[in-house]
Amino acid sequence: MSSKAIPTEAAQPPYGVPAEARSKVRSAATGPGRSRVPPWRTRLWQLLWQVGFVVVLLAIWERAAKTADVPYLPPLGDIADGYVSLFHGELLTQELLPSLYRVATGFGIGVAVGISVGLLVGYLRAVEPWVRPVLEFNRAIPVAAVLPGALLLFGATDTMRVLVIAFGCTFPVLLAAIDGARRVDDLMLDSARIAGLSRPQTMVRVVFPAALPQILAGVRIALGIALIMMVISELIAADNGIGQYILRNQRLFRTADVYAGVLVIGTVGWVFTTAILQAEKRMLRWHRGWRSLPE
Amino acid sequence: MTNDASVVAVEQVSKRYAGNSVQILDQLSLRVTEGEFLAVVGPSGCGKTTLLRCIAGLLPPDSGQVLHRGQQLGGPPPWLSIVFQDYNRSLFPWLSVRRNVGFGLRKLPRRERDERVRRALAAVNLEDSADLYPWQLSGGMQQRCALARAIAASPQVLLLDEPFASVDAQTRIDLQDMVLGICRELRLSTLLVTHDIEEAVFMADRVAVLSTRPARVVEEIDIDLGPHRDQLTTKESARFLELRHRVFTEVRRQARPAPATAGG
Repeated sequence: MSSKAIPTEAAQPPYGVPAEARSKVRSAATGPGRSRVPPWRTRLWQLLWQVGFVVVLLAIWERAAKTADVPYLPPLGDIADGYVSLFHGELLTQELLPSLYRVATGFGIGVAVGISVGLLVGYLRAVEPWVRPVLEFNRAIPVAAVLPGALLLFGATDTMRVLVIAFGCTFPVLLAAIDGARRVDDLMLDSARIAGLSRPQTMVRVVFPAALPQILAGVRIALGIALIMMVISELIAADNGIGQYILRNQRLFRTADVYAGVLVIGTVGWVFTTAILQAEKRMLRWHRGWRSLPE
Repeated sequence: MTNDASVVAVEQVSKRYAGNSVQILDQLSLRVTEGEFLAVVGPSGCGKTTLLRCIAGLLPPDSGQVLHRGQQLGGPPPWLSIVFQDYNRSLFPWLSVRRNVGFGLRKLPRRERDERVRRALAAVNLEDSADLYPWQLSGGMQQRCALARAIAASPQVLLLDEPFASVDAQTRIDLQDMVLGICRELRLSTLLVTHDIEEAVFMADRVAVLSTRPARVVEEIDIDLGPHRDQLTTKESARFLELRHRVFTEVRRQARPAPATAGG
């Protein structure tokens, strides 16, 4: 993969050299002879160190839990039981799935609204200076602060939680989309007009892909906010969800299950983040190649 | 002075930059006739690109009119294509060469689109690179990709905005020959905007010289070098040198202050 992804200046072919010849030039430039240690061995060592570090941390915890008899240091086995139980049976359908539904729906709505409104505002440049202060101010509001108001308006419902998450996700994406859309090169817009594209078509086929790098940066910020708001919204007047699960067990002094809940949220966050990073890597391959172009 | 023979007629067009009083075009008139290759030269920064954008229908003139086959249109006519100087900014970096070339052909049935893209890529000798991205190509190849995109739309009018200014000398010569061949084969009416006088005389049937800002056409010179141009024999002919001398003198006379170097 790395041998054909990005042409370096040294590998830049002379004018008119066919594709096959060029890829040969490239693999020659990045081929063997650069690193003496085979890459799989470095990666294996790295993995060993990483696993080892975790094992050491867990061992310290377990030892402390065995020796000190304090409630906030439950044995690892109890935490693991709680963790696993959240992924099947009643706890899965009653706690984890409702949370996932809320976070996915709210995040989806927020990102969709942010992208469409942001591209529109950024593309129709005349509107932008006019609406910008409102948007900037809205972004400055910590999303948690709107929660009591949302509770008042919509009650302790799923709608309220989804909307609060969506609200939090909208602004980072929206502002990123405005920025991205504003920075689309005039020459590309001219090219689209010459090609006979209407304004909506230009939005979809030129402005959106051109703004994608900025948009995805906003999406990553939005994901963090979505997870935070999922938990917070479930701490207030919820009857299920992972946040509620943690709160309930805290009141019952079931420390192990509290920790298990936190670990599950961490897992969910990690899965989402990894998925988005992977998607970004695929969608923006052109962007990295384009920008690393010498000159 | 009938409009019928003109593919593009620029009539008394004036243009100022919005918001201030810098006048760029001053009652400029120009016409491109069927199948003709017209080159527009002028001192740097005289408004050549503004003129081209007006002709393309990308920029409305303040006064006067631009007629495409006798009609005043609200935007770019579908039979018109442009190649810009800056291929790095006009090609879409998220699309492969093939998709860039087929970009404006969405309305066509798939088979016809593929066929047109194939022919356009063949015309610029880029078939082998169809699945690469533009940024994986050299500058000359990218400009050929832009050229392929322009001709894939089956235009009748081709506008060239300093298309060879960003490539090296050898590539420029190759591209000049390639463009001349394509224009002749497809019987395109072509308007080339350039600051390179030799290039203008070598390629065009007629050269229009612009004044400094605000730009007007001060001189139109017929280039009677025949339809076939050769980088060596044409450029060494006495007639070529004579015509180049004339155009050069005229451009120099317009650039009253010390000659600048940047393109405009």
